[in-house]
Amino acid sequence: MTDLVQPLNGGNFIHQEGPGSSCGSLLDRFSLKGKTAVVTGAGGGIGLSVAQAFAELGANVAIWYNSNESAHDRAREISEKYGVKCKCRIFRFKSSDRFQLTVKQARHSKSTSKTTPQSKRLWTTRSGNSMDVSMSSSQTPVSHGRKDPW
Amino acid sequence: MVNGPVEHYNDVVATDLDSTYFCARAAAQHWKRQKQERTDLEGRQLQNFSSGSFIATASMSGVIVNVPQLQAAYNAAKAGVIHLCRSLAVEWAQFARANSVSPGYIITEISNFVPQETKDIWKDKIPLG
Repeated sequence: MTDLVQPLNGGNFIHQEGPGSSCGSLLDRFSLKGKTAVVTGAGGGIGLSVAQAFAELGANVAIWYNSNESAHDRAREISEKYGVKCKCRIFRFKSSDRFQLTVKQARHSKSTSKTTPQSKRLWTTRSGNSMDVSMSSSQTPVSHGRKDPW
Repeated sequence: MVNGPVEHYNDVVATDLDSTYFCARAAAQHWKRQKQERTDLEGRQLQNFSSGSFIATASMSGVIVNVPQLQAAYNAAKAGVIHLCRSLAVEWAQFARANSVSPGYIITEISNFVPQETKDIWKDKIPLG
């Protein structure tokens, strides 16, 4: 198995063997058909637009939201309009603990084949797919202390 | 900034920078494993995985300083996001790409709280108005 821990070897980048990727048609290479994308902050705004764009390009989309409950309706709409899988889940990620848990659960379920934890469903969307794209679009606007500049 | 609440700084950095780091870290663990093992989490062979792609939403504020609103914390967090992605692109070269996008002002519900006269000042500075 290739060790992918380091991109460097002795201070130099590891050389690729053979030609670069030959994926055929340029348009096909833009397509996200059969890919899986996770978009955080996708309950509204830019994140939602990104989720819709990924879906239009054929990706199955996992919507993660922090507080915007309308994400559920948006996920349903995306699923119906673009004919892709689109699920959503509340996820708060200011702390690294939750992320670690997600990864740990996913690994655990792989080795034991027990019931699928929700977090895993979101990473892989149950279709045997890889996770391909992750878009981090969550935002806190600067909204306090404006009297004495923001 | 001088008299602003420190909690707000912490909140902005936690959401805009820390969360991006944690998200990137969690995603990269999957991509690295997928590239190495060529399987999904249930051990089935992956058909169409080439490499991962991480895209962070940064901001023009990570490159320029906005006026008239002064927002050092936000600007610093976004500059951090941009350079985090540059660094990750090198670190992940074997199994994933990393990029950031820096939008300018976008009309979304996130800026609903901003008074119209401030938005007009922003538009004064946008070539396409």
